[in-house]
Amino acid sequence: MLWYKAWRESRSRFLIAVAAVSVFSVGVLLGARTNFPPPQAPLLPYSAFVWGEFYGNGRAVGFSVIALLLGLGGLQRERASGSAPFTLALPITRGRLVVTRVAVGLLQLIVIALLPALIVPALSPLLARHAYPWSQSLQYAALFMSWGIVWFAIAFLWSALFRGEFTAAVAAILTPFGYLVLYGASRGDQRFPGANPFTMMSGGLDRHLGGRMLLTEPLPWTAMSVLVVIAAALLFGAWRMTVRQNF
Amino acid sequence: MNDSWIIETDALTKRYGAVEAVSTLDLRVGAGRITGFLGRNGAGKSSTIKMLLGMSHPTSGTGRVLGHRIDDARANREARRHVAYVAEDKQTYAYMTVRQMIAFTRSFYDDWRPDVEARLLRQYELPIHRKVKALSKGMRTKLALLLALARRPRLLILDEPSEGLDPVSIEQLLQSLVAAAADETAVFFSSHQIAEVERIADHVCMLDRGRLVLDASLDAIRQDFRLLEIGFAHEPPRVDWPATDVGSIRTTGRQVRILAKCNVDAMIERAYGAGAVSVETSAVSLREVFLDQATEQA
Amino acid sequence: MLYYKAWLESRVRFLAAGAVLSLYCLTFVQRARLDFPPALEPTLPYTAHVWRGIYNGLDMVVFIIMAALLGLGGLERERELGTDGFTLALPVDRAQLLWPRVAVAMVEMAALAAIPLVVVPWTSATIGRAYPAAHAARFAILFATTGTLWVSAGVLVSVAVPGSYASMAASLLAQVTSAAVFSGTLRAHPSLSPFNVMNGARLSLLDRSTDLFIAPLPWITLAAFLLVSATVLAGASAISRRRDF
Repeated sequence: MLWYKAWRESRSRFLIAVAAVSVFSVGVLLGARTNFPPPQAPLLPYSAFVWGEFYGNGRAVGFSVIALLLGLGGLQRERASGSAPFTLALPITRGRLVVTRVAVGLLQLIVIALLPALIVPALSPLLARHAYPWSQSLQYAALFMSWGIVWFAIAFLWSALFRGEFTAAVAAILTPFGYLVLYGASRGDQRFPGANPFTMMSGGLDRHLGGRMLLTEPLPWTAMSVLVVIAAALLFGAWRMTVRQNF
Repeated sequence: MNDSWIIETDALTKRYGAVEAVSTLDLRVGAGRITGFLGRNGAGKSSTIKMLLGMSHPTSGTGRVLGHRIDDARANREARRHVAYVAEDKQTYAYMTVRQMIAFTRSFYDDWRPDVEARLLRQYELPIHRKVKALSKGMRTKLALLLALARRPRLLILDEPSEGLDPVSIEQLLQSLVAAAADETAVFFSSHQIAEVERIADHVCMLDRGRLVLDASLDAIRQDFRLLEIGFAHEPPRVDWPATDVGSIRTTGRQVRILAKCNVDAMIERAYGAGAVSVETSAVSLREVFLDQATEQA
Repeated sequence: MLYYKAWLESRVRFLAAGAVLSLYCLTFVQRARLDFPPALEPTLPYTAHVWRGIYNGLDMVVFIIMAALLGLGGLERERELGTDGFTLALPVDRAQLLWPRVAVAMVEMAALAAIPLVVVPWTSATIGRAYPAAHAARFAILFATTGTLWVSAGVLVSVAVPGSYASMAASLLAQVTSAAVFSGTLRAHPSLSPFNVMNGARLSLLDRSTDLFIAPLPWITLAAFLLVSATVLAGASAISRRRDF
């Protein structure tokens, strides 16, 4: 039933995100009947159009916001709403509470990442009258998830630290931007281009992306593995914090 | 509607979907007295209070607080200038300090009394620089009480005011309520602590399943209410007891148990006239009345 | 005191956003000391560099997100925290509870909009570059006016959607979705898009090479945005008035 609790506490955010992503995805494909190719670029490949609508042009920011929102919640929030004593009195460890919430949140994030990955190749022939390769959309979904789990973990950690809901949310939402500020200030885009989350999520590390905006190189598994480790470390930090907190 | 009533409702009803939380409530609360508002959990007490204060909208019926209509937002706001309310949760703004909460609340009311504020701060030993979120439950209750009692409202509405308080603080609270009533403030408080209600209330209203099942002064309950245990030699006959005289009737085998609200002598006579072989009368406490009414409705 | 309450409830969001935006503008300009002009565009005007990085860059994104978050809160949130009883018992009507919150959020949003105006011209001077304050002021007006849309949308969501996180999600995702719609389906109508109006992108407001203003501000469009914001806020007030707590 802890899974059910975690689901109930996060389902509104998740379902809103599912609705937004689904409506947007279908809307774009329907709009492609009239909007594609755009008059100013009549030779634009469909794959480049899909990239512009789903993976480039700041779309990664939207997915990042969803990942951050899914990571919020937890015992600090329950403390504010008054249900923390009840939850803590249950015969379960705090670690189990944390693990369950992480599992549910990550599953939800995977679903969100997969939604356009499934909708675009499946419905493009029907709605937009063009084809888009499944492999491309799944690879982009993997790229989105790579930083998505880091954002999720950051929000999870802030939620374990801050009692106020808005405080944790604001800290979470501003963290990627704060990171980009420091990244820019330290000239990271010249020294470590792969460390720009939005560049990586939109396939910018693929040197042969070309005009079709199709991924041709293998996914950056090393970078993705590093991000998994970072996310795990953040989640471990959140777990430790939760286990040691006084309520 | 009568201007002498502080709270007056007429067939007030509140429905939440298929559930009728308050049902055709005709409530009258007089000025200058302490009225206890009793009822089991889920009886509709909080729903009634929320309607009186304009927090929720009645499904049907009308009501007035201090002569102002409860279903007119502007009128209800005017009423609230002279109403002090302590909610069941007693939650105030966690991010404010005690001092900030007092300053914030004080700014809305002309009847604030700085001398009472100072006295209650000392009495409750509230740390003025501490944030509300860092206060214990008891301290938060005391803060909520201070914010209500440091005024001179015409009506004081309290929802479970003693919850979370230690015995000393409860005693202080009860004395404050009595003092407020002596100062011409009408006190209307809901509580599960029958003993507290018995100690200080002048009048009692009891709600069950959204309906008013008891509306009597405590003096009347003490003086006039009696428990009649009527014994019959065989199965008790059907007797038309006057509805206004009877609180509840319970038949177990050959015994009939009646909570009589008045005219006890006449009822005893009627019992013997119906063939009773024994009639025992006993005084009844408010707690017994409460339990009797609650289980009767059940 | 309701203004004070609204300030206390929103100050963390506001100050955090102000800190990030100020730091970004500061570091962006300071970085130009080393990185400007970019190697691939040696003749890029400094003002265009500022427009790309700030008015069409990170500052814009953070501003839009935080403007929506500033609109959140209110009675639905208080219901979660259990303080709605106290607040609703105050002798003020629900509109009086809403408008101070809106006013404080709008002022905070305008302050965030003004950050580049405050930071960019003088820090540019310290690195030997010039960015005209008058143009920065115009961008501040565009940001602030368009920002009323984000704030009012946040306020509407806060009264219509129960749950702090659900309202956050609804507010932010509405922005993201509308950005996508305006850049996609409504791409042929750039003057309708608040995202274009706020920084002059794809409109004939700015010189193509310097990204400085060459035309008057689109006052009619801005007035329309204000009207939309006012309508949304009126709707939020109506919803709040009818809510049961």
